[in-house]
Amino acid sequence: MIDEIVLETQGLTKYYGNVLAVDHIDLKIPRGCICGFVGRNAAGKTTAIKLMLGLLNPTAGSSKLLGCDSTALTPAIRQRIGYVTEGHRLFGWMSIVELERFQRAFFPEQWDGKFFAEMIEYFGLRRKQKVKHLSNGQRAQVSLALALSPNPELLIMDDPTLGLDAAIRRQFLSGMIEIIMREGRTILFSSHILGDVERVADRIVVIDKGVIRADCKLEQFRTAVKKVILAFEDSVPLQVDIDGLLHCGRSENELALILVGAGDDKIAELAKSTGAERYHIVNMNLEDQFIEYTAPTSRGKLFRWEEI
Amino acid sequence: MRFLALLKKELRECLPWAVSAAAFLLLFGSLELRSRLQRDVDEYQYRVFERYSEVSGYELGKYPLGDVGLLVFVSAVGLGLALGVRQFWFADFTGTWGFILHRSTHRTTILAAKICAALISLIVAVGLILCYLFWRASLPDYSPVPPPIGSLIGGWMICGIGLLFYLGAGLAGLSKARWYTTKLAGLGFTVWMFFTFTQQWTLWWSFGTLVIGTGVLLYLMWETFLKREF
Amino acid sequence: MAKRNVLEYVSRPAEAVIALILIMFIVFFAQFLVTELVWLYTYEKPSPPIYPDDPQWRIHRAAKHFLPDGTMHLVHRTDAQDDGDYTKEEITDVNGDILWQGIRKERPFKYLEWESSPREYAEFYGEQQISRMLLSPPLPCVLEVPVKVGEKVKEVWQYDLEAQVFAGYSIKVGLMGYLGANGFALSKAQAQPLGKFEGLALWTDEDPSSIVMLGVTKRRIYQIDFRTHKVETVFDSGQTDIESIRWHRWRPMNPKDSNSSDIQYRPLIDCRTADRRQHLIMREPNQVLTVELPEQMQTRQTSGHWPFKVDFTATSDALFMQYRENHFNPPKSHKLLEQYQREYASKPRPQSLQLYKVIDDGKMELVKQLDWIRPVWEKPYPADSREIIMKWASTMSPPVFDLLWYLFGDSLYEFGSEGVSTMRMMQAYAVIIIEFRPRYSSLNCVLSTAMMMIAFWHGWSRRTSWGKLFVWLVLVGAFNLAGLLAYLALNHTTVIKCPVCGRGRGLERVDCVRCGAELPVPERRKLDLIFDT
Repeated sequence: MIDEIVLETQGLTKYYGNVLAVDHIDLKIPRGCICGFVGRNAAGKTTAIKLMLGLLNPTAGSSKLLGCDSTALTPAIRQRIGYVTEGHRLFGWMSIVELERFQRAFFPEQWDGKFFAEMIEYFGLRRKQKVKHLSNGQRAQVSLALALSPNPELLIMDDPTLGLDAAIRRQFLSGMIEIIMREGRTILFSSHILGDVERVADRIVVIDKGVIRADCKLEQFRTAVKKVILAFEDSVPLQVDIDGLLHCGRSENELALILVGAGDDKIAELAKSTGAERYHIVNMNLEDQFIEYTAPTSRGKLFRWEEI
Repeated sequence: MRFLALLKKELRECLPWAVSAAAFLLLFGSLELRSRLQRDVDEYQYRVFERYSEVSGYELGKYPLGDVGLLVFVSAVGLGLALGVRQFWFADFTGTWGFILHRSTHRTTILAAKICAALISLIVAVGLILCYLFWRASLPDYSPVPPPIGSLIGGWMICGIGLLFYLGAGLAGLSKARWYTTKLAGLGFTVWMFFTFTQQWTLWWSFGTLVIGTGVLLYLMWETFLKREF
Repeated sequence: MAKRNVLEYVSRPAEAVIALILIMFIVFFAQFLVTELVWLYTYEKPSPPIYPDDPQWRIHRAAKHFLPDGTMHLVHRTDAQDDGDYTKEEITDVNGDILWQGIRKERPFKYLEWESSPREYAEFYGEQQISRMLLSPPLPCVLEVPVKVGEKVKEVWQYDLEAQVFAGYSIKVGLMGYLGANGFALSKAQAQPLGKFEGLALWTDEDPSSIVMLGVTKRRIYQIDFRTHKVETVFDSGQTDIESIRWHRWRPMNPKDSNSSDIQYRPLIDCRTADRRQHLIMREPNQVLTVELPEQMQTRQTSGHWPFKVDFTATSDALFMQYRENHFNPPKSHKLLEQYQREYASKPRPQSLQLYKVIDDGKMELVKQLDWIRPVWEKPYPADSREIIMKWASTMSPPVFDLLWYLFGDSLYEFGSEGVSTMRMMQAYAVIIIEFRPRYSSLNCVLSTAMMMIAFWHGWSRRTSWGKLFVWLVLVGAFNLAGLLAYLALNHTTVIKCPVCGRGRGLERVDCVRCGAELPVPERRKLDLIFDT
């Protein structure tokens, strides 16, 4: 099957006043992809998502969802896209059943009422509860149910697990996995919780200060970003020469290197050339890798314990 | 079906304000009529003219429904402003624009639902209550001199003023300009149209002013809503 | 996309017009405020004018009155200020011989009184005011005339604006009937419309519980007695329109105040019609007399400066007319009025006051005439400081007002002072243009040019198109400060530093307006993990 591109951006740029929020984003998300969209605070994730959904107008560039320009999304296209807003903003005065009725009106043919009811039951919610009386997590569950029940082709979620505890997050991700299992469905979700991304995504896009810094398969990212500790008997060398060096940290006897795309053989060669007594590759999780990958090049230490 | 769902949602949101306005107008309007019942004819008995004196036309001007007119004005304008703020300012605070706008329908339909809901609220909460008060004042047992139909038509015009204020407040809410530039221009235009309305000589000219003001504000609101960033 | 552009072609100009008008009002208010504050701060009470010691000035400044036998007296005020009934006066004859001195309320002479001061409908309230009452917020009101018996209200007559009749309601019975042009009728269909009132007056006589109304339409004058349900057609002008009405002693006066002299007046209405004839309607006995005045005595339709040259009064003995001639013939153009006034004051001008007796056939017999020369007055009145301050404040006014004044000044003046027959808002706009137009045109143009330069400097790096910038420059030039503020309010978009040429550029275009460079693509780091998946 030829991969169909469901989400495409070209040079997407957005200024808020004179602040550059998103800078020439080029993305191509194929059908069936589960894409984790990660970045630090104020990196531009929400802005990028809103641009894609046509809620903001780009300063430059363009974006297409399901082949339709984002600034002119037709009702028919919107019907095929599910969107979970940041913070799960819903109408507080509505009850869950009223929300369902409201949402269903926009998906007359494709609404899966049975699935919605099952999800609500699964999450342990009462249908007549008003949204304003729900907790953050419960609201997130309702949002997910509302977004999944129309069986969308493309699901865009902006930080869907924000503020949720671990148990609720696990439930939430279960719902996501449900949709993953439906063939041809595509998900784009932004998150601060790299564990969630690691659990479900097969592709990762890292955005830093409005610029895409990584857009690859999750495995590629996991493999590429490494932390190597070189231990020295005597003094630590002042300069290190190796391709893919991102950061270098020194202590009395050790050199900590963050490398991108460096193979094991290159690392061994470096250890030998610098005269390191021994070296090891630190086992990092995705969160550690993300932090190191997006850390500023000249970073200081804030806390005293970091110097130890 | 989509429009109906949006309309129902907007009507439900307008409901507390419409009910408040209706209750206010009904309660105080009835009280005003009741108090006029006692003093309506007496007013002329207490109004004593001098012998051999000029009598000003304004001395003989009488509001057939007493202060009900003022109450209608306050209700209409208050309801209009409240609905404008509720529909277009409130969503900025609650962050629900994203949810409401990502609908399988045009933005025009979403806006039309809001405006229709506000219009229905004004008609029911202010217009129909006014009709009831007018009918009550027209009953023979109420006053020997019935109010002329012009005062009812004038009252409905005041409801139109309420619509103007609703559109002005909505346009101000939708505007992304800074408050010290043109954010409040919509409301400024509404006030200008209001004064123009009050300066007309005939009902037709007043109606024309309302139509022009409403048309301009509607168009600007529509265009702003279509291109605005949320 | 195309649809949205079409919408903007209408919405952008609409927004600009609204912003411009609202900001203009704010600027006008600021000008008014500055004028008033500076005037308050600098106000000095003007000293009373000093007139030259010249016999002709004395005659000119004296009030001239006639006795019923035609004798003319000159009443000179000897006090600096007018103190009402306690003003000190000196009465002389036309030769200057002193006849009496004392305070006004003790005058021994009873002079002829004349019809009301020359303003159209001075004591009348127009139909427009009636209809405006129907619209005025908060809710329309109606004209209701009560008829009492003793203390109690017996009937109420309500004016029906649409049908142009009065509907009568009895307190006990309800609807009684209607009063129209044909008198009392039982049904609305039977009642003839009175017509659209151009003016009306209401009064009470000895019985304050009953009100009588005099209403003037385009062709008729009606008198309606609400107690007796009588409608009298006082005058019917036939095929020609009634232009103006003045009256004297038509409504009954309190015997105590009305006439403590020997002069018995007849009620009189002086009605001027469009065919330039004066119709004098009198009572006691009823009489209608039509007078065709010579051309030089005709009322001039100008800007309101002394439009009425003749006044009438009717006593039981005779019908008198006084004619004032000052040879003041201002041009029709109001723009030239001020210059004409200065020219008029700069030379001696012959004046004349004539008393005529009007004979039953409409002919006039000269009874008395006084001619004198109004000398040149070398010391004019001090200029109003408000006017001087406003002249400077008006340098911020829109030059387009100056252009409108130049092209349509007379029409604006007529429109602005026409009174109740036009739309009040349009009248208000005309007055605004007249009041706030720039007085110093050159300085105003210089300031406007400066505003345009500021707008150009602001817009240079921001413009999306030359056309849009040009239109805004024209608006700023035409509307001065208001135009600049409107421009800044609607066009204050962000400027960033172009990374290629380093100069300021707006963000509405993709390319820099200076160097044409597009927004730069961020540099790809070697370590960016971007793979085509």
